[in-house]
Amino acid sequence: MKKSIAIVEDEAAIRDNYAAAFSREGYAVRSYANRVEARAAFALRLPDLVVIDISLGDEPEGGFELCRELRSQSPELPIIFLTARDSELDAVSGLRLGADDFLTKDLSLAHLSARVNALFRRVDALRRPALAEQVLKRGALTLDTERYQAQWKSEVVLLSLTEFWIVHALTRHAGHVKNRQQLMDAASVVLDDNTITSQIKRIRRKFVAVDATFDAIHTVYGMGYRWLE
Amino acid sequence: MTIRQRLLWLGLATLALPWAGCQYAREMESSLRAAEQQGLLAVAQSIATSLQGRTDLLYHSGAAPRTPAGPLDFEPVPLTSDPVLDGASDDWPSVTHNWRRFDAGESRSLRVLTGVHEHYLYVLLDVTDAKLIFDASDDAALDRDAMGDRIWLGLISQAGIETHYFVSGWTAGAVRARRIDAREYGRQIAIDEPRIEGAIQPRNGGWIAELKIPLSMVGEGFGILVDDRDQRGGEPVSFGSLSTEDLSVHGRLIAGAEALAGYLAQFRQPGVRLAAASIGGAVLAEADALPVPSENSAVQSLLSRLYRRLLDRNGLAERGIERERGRLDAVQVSDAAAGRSSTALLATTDEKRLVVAAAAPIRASASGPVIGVLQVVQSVDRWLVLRDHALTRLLNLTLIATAIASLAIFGFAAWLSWRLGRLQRASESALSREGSLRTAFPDQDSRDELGQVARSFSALLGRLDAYTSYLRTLAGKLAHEIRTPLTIVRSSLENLESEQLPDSARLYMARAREGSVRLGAILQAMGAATRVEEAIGHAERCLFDLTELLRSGTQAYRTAFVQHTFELTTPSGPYPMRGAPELILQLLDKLIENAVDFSPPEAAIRLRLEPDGTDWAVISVENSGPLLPVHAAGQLFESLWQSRAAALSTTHFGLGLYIVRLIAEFHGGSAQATDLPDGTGVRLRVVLRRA
Repeated sequence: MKKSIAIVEDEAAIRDNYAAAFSREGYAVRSYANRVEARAAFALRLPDLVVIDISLGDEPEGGFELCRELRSQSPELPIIFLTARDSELDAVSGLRLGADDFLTKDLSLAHLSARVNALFRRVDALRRPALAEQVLKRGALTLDTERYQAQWKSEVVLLSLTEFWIVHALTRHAGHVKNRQQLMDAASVVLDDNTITSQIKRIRRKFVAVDATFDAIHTVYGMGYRWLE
Repeated sequence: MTIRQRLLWLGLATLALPWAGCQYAREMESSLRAAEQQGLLAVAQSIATSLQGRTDLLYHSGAAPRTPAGPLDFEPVPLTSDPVLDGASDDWPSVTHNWRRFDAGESRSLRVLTGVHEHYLYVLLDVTDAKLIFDASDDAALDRDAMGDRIWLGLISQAGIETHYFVSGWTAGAVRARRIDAREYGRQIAIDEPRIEGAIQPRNGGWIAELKIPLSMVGEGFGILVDDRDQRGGEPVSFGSLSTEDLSVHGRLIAGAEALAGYLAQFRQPGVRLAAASIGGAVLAEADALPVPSENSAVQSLLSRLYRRLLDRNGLAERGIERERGRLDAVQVSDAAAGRSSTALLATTDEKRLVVAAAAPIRASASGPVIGVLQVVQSVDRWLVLRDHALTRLLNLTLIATAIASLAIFGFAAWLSWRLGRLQRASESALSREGSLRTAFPDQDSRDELGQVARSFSALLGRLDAYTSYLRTLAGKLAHEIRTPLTIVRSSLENLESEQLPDSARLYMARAREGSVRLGAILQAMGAATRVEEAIGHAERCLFDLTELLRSGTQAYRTAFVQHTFELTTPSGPYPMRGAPELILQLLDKLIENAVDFSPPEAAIRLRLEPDGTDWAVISVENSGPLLPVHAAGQLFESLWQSRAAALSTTHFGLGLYIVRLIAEFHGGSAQATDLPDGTGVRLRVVLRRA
């Protein structure tokens, strides 16, 4: 059975373009122009993944509201925020509401598809037992590249997809400096310096929340970041 | 001149108050004086009228002199006490007018002063004479060989009998007066006249004699003569008012009647002097109750003395008073002699005080000839004291009022200029706050004109601020608004790519994609400042090593901009600083981007970190290349500012140095751009607070 994706986007042209792209990838796509419409449909049946724009019609924060409702309905449903906004505050609030990823509309369709595929893979992987070869170990860090799950000293660190990919890029060749461009490529995002900085900051904070002594991500000023074991 | 000074000058205008007070006091004084003079004149006139025709009461001789006193006539001074008969002039009043002088050649002269006290006529003789010769003995008065210097008196009694007496002494001291009586056979004897007393005393270059004659012996005529001998028994040189031929009396004695002083005394009252005088002005009698100049002038406060000086009261007097005892004011006397009454304000020269004098003629009958002058003199001290008192109070009050007014005006001016200064400072600092204008203005609550100015300034700045902040956020807003249509274009292009397209169409599509990528880059740049502002809002400060940051940053720039060389100067050792390192790095990125834009390839870009004191770090980036545009130095760090040359070269929106400023300000510092001293390039300098 085809996996279903719901797109909630008030801009018809974008909505249809995304729908076309996802259909081409072989997904069943349903699209909604506003929150009420989407909620009515979701009440009947939940899709397998939801892409939500933050501002919906005359509700500037409608996407957040919808995300909150969906999360209460289903804790596992993958949710991606897709927005024209790129403010740090929005990203933080979106991820705090339990979105799996927060993407700006600068992202190309190909990259968007990659995200969607990755998220589906993760959902699938979570249903299966973990495979040893899919696990990357770097000292206290364990990365399950199938489930997009990170563990630090055997404790799960909840990372968004983008954050996971950044950590993955840093740790694949631990000790090497990864510059911003490399990190952006790895995470398949187009982000400016500030966003990378805040992503790194957010990642650090998540690890520190698990282990107060965490200090594995080192800033090389002007160059980028490296993972120290 | 500042407003403060101008208003202070205005405040001095209140000094017109005391001036007006002075004028008022003067007028008050002069009208008081006029009234006083009129009153005094009325008194003088009524007393004069009461004396009308009373020659018996006026003149000793009982008849009015028909002509004024001539050189042979004597006008006795009314004395206040009996002179002691000792041959010394020191107990006589010092007068000049009443002296009579008779000369005989160069070396001999006789000066005679007469005075009256109670019932006696006193005569003072001051003789200039080489040598005083006494008689050989007291008794040989008529022995020609024994004769020395002698004085002859010629008296015409009330009954008209003329008698001559000679006065001589055989030694210094008391003298005897005798008359020569002719007896039968031409024999002459000297008969003593004990009623006449006297004394003689030599002085340097002459001698002085004093005589005392009962007024009852004297009538209308009086004369005196000196027989001066150079040696005893020698031929005398005679000089005096008696005829040298036969000693006949030609001069008059114009003296007041004995009863006159008593008569005048009836009218006597404190502060007033009454005097009756002959038509020549010689005082016949007076009743003096003018007060002695009071000593309170010494205890008068300094202030009132000053006021008196300001008022120039001596200038009020018409003329100085006749100083001499025994004479009245000449002008008043001549007026009275002509039959006119007059009043005058006179100043005594010695006592520095003012008197009012009123003089009225005394007539023989209602329209008869003038036979004398009556003068009433009153001290003005009484009402001067009143006036001074009032004036002192007035001046004190007005001066206090002036001082208070001046202080108030000065305070007001200070307050005004303080407010103006505050407005000025506020407007200056509002303008100098580069990006965000401060619209809060002082004084907005006050309801006066300054408050209005402040309010309109504030409103103006508020509008300006809204405008500039609109401009500042315009780029970000535009970026956001354009992003959605751009996403439509891009996603459409991406979808199109998966369609079957001829190769020719793919070429156009590639171009369209290229364009959309560029558009995306532009949007990214436009939103940069907004994102930095946001990043600043979320920035967390931590302790880091600025030297390390600069060193590794410079390393990165060397690899990023291979055409340029970078020189880094830092203090040796770590330079810890508390701040947001990623923001500092961004600041550095922008500085370097700017330097790279303007610097010619191969030219070195110099980075320097210098501590400024312990609290400040200064990062400067120098590059060779074009100098700063004139007039642009202050705007360089503004949002959206860019020089034209830069605008042509790359796609940035004049946000780079604005970001530098934002980050510097976040670190409590500032950013400046200057030309290098040698004129080869530009230095951008950022000051950051270390903690």
